[in-house]
Amino acid sequence: MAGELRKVFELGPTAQPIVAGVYAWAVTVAPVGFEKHGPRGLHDWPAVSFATLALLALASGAAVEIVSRRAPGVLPGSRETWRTLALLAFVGASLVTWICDTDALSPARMSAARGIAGMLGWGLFAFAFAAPVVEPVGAGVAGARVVAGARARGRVERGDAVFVAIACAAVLALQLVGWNVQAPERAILVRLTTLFAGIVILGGVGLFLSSRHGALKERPARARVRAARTPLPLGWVIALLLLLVAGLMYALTS
Amino acid sequence: MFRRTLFPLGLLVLACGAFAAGAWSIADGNDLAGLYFVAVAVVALRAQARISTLGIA
Repeated sequence: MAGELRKVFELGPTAQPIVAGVYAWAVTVAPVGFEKHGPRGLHDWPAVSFATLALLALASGAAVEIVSRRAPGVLPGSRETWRTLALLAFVGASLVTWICDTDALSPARMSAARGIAGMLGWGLFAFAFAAPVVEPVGAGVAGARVVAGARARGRVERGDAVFVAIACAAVLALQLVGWNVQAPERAILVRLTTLFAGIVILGGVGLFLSSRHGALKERPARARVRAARTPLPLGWVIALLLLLVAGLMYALTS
Repeated sequence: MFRRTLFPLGLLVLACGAFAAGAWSIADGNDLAGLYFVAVAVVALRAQARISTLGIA
């Protein structure tokens, strides 16, 4: 049962952008499509239909992926074609939803925070859509996994998983800061700061983990002597110390 | 051990704390303190990156 569930939720080439697509749909398309209008609170039915169609297009992409994985050859055309069709149908239906109710995207009806969240959602969707297709390799299949771009390590060490889990928890905890800020501009600034912090912290943790397993480079004797004279790259460390001292002095004197 | 694990890890923790303090300061309306803490975090991460990649193939 658990194995079957894992197979269903295994992220294939279509499911990867679908995750971001559902987020973008929930933030920017669903509020436009399902919002009630006028004093009688009526739905705009074309907008409702196309918002629903957009979500169904995403669901169809996931369904096609599961079917083609379980029974290859049942569906005509390649999986790449179906993936492109499903995702373009999602984008097209979302576009028509917005056209049905253009006022819904005006600043008067859409808050700045939701606008920023929607922008991030569509950016993530575009990034996942444009990313190279990475097919999961089944158990027992011999040969290397072919992935365009940077190659991931084949195995995650147990210690690394702990570091990543702690870093993810810290990054998620950072996202809890500043939700009760009243001024919209300040709220956006706090959100941008915490998102930026999350991205660079995860990047730093990735670098730290990869360096733990990196091999020391064989360097020429002259470089080794020079490295022995300066045991640490002190530039950024000194800059950090100066900043900390300056902050401490400011706190003590004011 | 110190150079490859403890020192970079300490800098990462410092960066996390500085980012949290920066976000809190900005949320409280203290932009100068927020900018300072974010600068401390960025410099700590740069130092961590330099130390982590030193001599690594």
